Amino acid sequence: MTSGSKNETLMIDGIGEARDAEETAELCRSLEAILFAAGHPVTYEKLSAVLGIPAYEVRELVKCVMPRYNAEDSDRGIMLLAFDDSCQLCTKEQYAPLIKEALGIRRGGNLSASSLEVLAIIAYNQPCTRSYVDMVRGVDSGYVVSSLTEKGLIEQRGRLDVPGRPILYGTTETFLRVFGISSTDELPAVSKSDDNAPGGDDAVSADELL
Amino acid sequence: MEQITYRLDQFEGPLDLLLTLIQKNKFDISDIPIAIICDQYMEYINDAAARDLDVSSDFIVMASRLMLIKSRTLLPRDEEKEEDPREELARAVLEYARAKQASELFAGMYSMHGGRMVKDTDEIAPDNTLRDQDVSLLSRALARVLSEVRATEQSAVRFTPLIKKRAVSATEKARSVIKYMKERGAVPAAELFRREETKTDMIAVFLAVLELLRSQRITIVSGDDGDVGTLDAEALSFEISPLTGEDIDDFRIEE
Repeated sequence: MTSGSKNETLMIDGIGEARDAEETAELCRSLEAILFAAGHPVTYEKLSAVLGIPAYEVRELVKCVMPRYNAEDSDRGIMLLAFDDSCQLCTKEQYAPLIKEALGIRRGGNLSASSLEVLAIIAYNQPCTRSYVDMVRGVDSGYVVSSLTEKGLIEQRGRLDVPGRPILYGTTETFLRVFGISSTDELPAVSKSDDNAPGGDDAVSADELL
Repeated sequence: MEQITYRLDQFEGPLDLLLTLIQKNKFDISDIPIAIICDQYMEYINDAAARDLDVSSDFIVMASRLMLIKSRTLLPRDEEKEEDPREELARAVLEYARAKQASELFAGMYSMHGGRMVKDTDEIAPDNTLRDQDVSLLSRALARVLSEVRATEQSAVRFTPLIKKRAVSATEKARSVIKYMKERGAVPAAELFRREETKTDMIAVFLAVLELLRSQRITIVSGDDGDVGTLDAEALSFEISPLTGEDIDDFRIEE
């Protein structure tokens, strides 16, 4: 990671044409403007088309400017998030109380224990069906699943090719953002076999259960 | 007693209760003393039932499952061939334990990062006001319309009326434009002019279209890259579509 100094000339690695500082700065400004206006994550593909540079250079660009937003000593209140296929601007978590006060947002944003359970099961087993979630939890999770879908934390990922064609669910980029990770690969490891695993059996896979 | 019944609500489900009992007793999930667990479990259920609490069917199903397992363990079985009747239960409890552990990690992650907020794209409204326009653009656009229409109708033989100076009302034209668009939906702007015969009519239509746009009775539907802000001759290739389809008759232009 480069240092976050603002006057630093940005070097975009890669085979692309060499760019002077002004060109690079213009790219940074364009990127910021687009991401700000969009709000939602914008794909590298789209940015590549709009900025007129290859997608891998967009990724490099994002990686390079990231410290300016995200570094501890950065003077920004917003941060740049890079996901697998897209990037997004969001406010830094520590300013949530101020923002809520300024915008008059009273409450909300809490996730219940059942929501977290359902989210965890889906996150680690995605894409998976609701009946799988029900099975692991031992209770009906229909309501929680729909409320998580409404909150945009999970989304439909097609249907499983078994009788009834149940809907498959997976986590969204909103999920990644509010849980502070940039990819589901970064989910914390959950002990695969507990100290008291039964008969050394591996985790029951979704297919097995269905 | 009261404490127990209160607590049944706290469990996410039968597996949660079971897991809690196992952990409280420090039992090994792979070797659950089924008789003890079954008794403790039933205590919770009976208690909740005695207090008229709604015990959800999931809890009852698990109760019967536990009793079935308990009865199976009492029967003699071939250790080699038969599966431990508790195994399936152990697997389910373990799987749930993992999910619960993960959900606890998630709670921490969420409380740390949940404050990351984003805005909707919609908050930035595209600026549709026409800015920095030059009046000459209007006259150029009109000239373009006139020449285009003239070109297409060059061959048309026209009867020149004897009565001259027919009064042309922009209001009339506006109504006819709305009516026309009501029937057809979005139409290219140029089409509106092609219907007209005389220059005076076309000017009236032109004024009517401007007025309708201004009062937002119709709107310009441009392509993806269309620069709506420029009312150039180009703009005439845009589709114009009715915004509000309501009463044509109360539309008036102050003339």
